[in-house]
Amino acid sequence: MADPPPFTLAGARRGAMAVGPLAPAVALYGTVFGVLAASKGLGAVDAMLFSAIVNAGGAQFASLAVWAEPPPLLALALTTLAMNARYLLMGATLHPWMGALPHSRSLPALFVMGDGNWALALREHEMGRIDAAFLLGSGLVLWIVWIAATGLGHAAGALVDDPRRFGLDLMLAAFFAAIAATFVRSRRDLLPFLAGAAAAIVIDRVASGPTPGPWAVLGGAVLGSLVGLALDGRSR
Amino acid sequence: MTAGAEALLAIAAMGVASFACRAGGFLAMRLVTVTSRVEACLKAVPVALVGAILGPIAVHGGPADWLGLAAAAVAMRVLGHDLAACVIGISVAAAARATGA
Repeated sequence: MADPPPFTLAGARRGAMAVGPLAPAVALYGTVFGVLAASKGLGAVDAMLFSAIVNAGGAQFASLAVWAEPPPLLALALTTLAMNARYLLMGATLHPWMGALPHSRSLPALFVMGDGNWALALREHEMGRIDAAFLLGSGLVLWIVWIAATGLGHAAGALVDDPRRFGLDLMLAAFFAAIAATFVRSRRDLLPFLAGAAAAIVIDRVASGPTPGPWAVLGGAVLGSLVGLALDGRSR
Repeated sequence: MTAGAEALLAIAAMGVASFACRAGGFLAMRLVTVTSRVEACLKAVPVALVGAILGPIAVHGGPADWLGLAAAAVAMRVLGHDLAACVIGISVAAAARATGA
């Protein structure tokens, strides 16, 4: 196997400094999660442990919808699996970069990997900066923001009265639109992008389950990347 | 407020499921030989995933959301700064909603 990539404090610090655009969205969603968790009867400690241990926005919101007293263990675990299945793919994309790291470094970085800092890290790598601690540094900051915001939201349920008025509900989507603008540079990138979007829209429309979102994202990602594979096969 | 044992167990189960996804794909790559085809597929995953995240959001949203997302993408191309792009995107969406778009 290849030599492990650099993994330095400077890289972690770079990652920590790069989360500026993500932190407000994470704080907002964390606050909303705290508010909703309180409304579902979870205590402050439960809610913050929830965020600390599961550490995945979409999965946590979906799980809250499933939450009951007593908590249905299997349904909650399956909901989390479904919502986080995209992490399988995201983790796989990091393997060529971080596979040679010892597990004591790669696994903590994966624990704090989220959609946002994963995308940031890939962009960082694309720009030739290969310090693998970037993912850990960025993830740790967002993890702390996520937990703190959950506590804040739980404590002050009325803090966010109407996020729509300020467009804040669109913050995460706007961030992904900006990411897409840097990812999609050629027709070669555009086809997987459009295939992913189209497949996700169709699956989202067709799936009538309680949480169509995760399958839409996962299915779109798989179909879109197969289009990328087909393009690669045709070009040689 | 204390955490009940059942709630803790549920949170732990979700934590295991969550981490299994994060580490599972990464570790499975050890068993998969990374040919150029696998690499081409993996390279397309981020692009497709971002498309898959945005697609349903765009369909569920209205014209104000589309304007905001387009503004964020254009701002990113022009300014090359993602926080600025986000702020411009959500401001455009908020303004469009205020004018009833």
